[in-house]
Amino acid sequence: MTSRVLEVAGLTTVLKTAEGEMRPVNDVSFHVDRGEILGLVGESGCGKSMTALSLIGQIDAPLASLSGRVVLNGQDLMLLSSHARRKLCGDRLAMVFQDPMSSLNPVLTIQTQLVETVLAHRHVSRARAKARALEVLQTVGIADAKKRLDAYPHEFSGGMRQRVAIAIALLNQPELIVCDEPTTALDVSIQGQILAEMQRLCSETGTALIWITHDLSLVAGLADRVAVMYAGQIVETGTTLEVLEAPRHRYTEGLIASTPAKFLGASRSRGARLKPIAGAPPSLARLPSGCPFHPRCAHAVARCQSPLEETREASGRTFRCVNPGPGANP
Amino acid sequence: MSAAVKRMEKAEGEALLQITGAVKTFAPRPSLATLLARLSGRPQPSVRAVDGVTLSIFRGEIVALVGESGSGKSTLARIAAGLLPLTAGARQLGGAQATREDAARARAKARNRLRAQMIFQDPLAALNARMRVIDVLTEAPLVHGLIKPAQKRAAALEMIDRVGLAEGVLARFPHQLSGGQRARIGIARALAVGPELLVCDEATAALDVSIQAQILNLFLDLKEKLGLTYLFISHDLAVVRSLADRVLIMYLGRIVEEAPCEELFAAPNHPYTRGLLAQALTLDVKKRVFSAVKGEMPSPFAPPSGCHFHPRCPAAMARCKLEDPVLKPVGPARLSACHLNDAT
Repeated sequence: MTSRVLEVAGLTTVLKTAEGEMRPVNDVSFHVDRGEILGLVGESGCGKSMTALSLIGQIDAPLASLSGRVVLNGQDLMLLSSHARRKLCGDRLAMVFQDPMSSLNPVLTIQTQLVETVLAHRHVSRARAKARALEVLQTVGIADAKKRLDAYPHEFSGGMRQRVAIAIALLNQPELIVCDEPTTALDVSIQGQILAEMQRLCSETGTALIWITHDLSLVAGLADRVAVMYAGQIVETGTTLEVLEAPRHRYTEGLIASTPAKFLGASRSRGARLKPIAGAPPSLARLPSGCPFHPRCAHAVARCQSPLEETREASGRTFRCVNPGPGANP
Repeated sequence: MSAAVKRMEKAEGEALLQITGAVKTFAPRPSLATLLARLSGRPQPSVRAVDGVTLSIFRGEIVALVGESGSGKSTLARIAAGLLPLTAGARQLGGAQATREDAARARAKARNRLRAQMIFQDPLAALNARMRVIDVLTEAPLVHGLIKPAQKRAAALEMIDRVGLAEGVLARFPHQLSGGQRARIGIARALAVGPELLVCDEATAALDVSIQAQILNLFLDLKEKLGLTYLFISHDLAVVRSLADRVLIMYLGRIVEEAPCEELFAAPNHPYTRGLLAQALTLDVKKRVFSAVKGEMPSPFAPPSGCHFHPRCPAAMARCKLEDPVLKPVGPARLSACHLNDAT
């Protein structure tokens, strides 16, 4: 059996807002194995970034109340003190954010930022830390890394800056890296370079990766498994092949039908159109009863309005739908 | 170039928009040092954001303009919409010369300007935060005398009905709308003055996939209903493929390839286009290799000599460094700017 790096079970984050209680993360369960890439897919406001922040411990009381289990290589992080949890960040857990210009410090050279990340977690000499910094910069494909160590973030292009942010995440050889849409702001040619880089790193170092994105076509080539989120819940999980080729949940089905990328590769018949999902996602403060997707769903039945359980197939595939799509073998 | 264009003109009639040899340069705000340098006669740094572009858009067509950030596609969009004056070259909209017009005919000029309208990427930034939707929609028609103040509400109702919204949104402010609703208001506002050409600059890039599909279909519906012509600027090849009749590929201020949509995706000619298509992410699960175009787009302040793409091109030859390739026919209705096409 492959070794399980992260196991999330029943993770729930409750925010108290002026509009009432919201659950941007609502009973979320998933796992990631060693060297595996999990794609966490959903539209804006579905809770995918809140899931990431909750599991790395960046959202906490009094802002929110968390429950559930987040187990990193056998250790339940939810039982740790906030100080102990914080020490894990940048060490055993790392995160790469969407906008490197706001995650890097603009007034420090990248050398300072890289070295400081090593020294915060390891008792090594400054020279060793610097050598490590140089090494990771080369790993992520920054040309002339030695010279670039003394540069400030603004002296890098967008793609190079994101590489620096990824380098910082890699410094202490974390067990898990969470990437929150790191290539969304980049051009396609740069995105391709970074995706290739990340795939190589995961298979070489065995680091587990959670890749958050709204883009199904990105997940198609990158991820081993996919989890689809809607209104705070994971509505479907499975291998990338299963989920994209034979979706069970009707939301996943709608998302695939809305994606223009399905016209690439296949030849498009003239006048063929996308089939969008009607309506818009619900507000987290006023969720519909039962399945949160039922008001937009073309296949909704009466039972959709009462609370529903997750279906788990023998293959490990899960979905929350009472009237699911046919899947692979109907 | 002209041979292919003439062939197309014969087939589809007169061009609605004709841009010829368009050049647009921007210079950074001069510092004291550069002012002194200017006095001493040294040349000033400037960016040729659009570098000699010729294009025509025919009535009823959806033309997509594809390029990465910094390629000059937004500048070209603003030129096409008539929002930016040209440094050199000409822009002609359906027969009337828009660059040199009689000042006495200012009103006719303003009317002419209304014929091309623009839809922007971020609808929240493009809508006045302090105006209610009804005022956003009717301001331009009122100013230009297209409707009378008494007709304001009826006109606004007709406009939102066209984009699939209900009466309730009229009294709202932009921040009270969802992203999809804002995009629809942005479109309704552009349509309010009865344009013939819509220039969409990354109009769906900020939207979620399910909403983006709704808006793309709305564009197609409106085209059929109102006989609109589109210049659709995007970096997203999948969106382009789902919408466009003809595609222009832009790199560092120049058009490098032009082709009908199907043919471009089936058989790209220019190495840059080929690289872009290889990058495009598909829903194909088995494709697990990301083959990247090497390197990054060079600084537009110092574009490479000859073909701008040669430092990143896998097939670059000695000639590519020395000589600018010309955009010339490589097939019926197809143009490409690459020396490789002469090599055979």
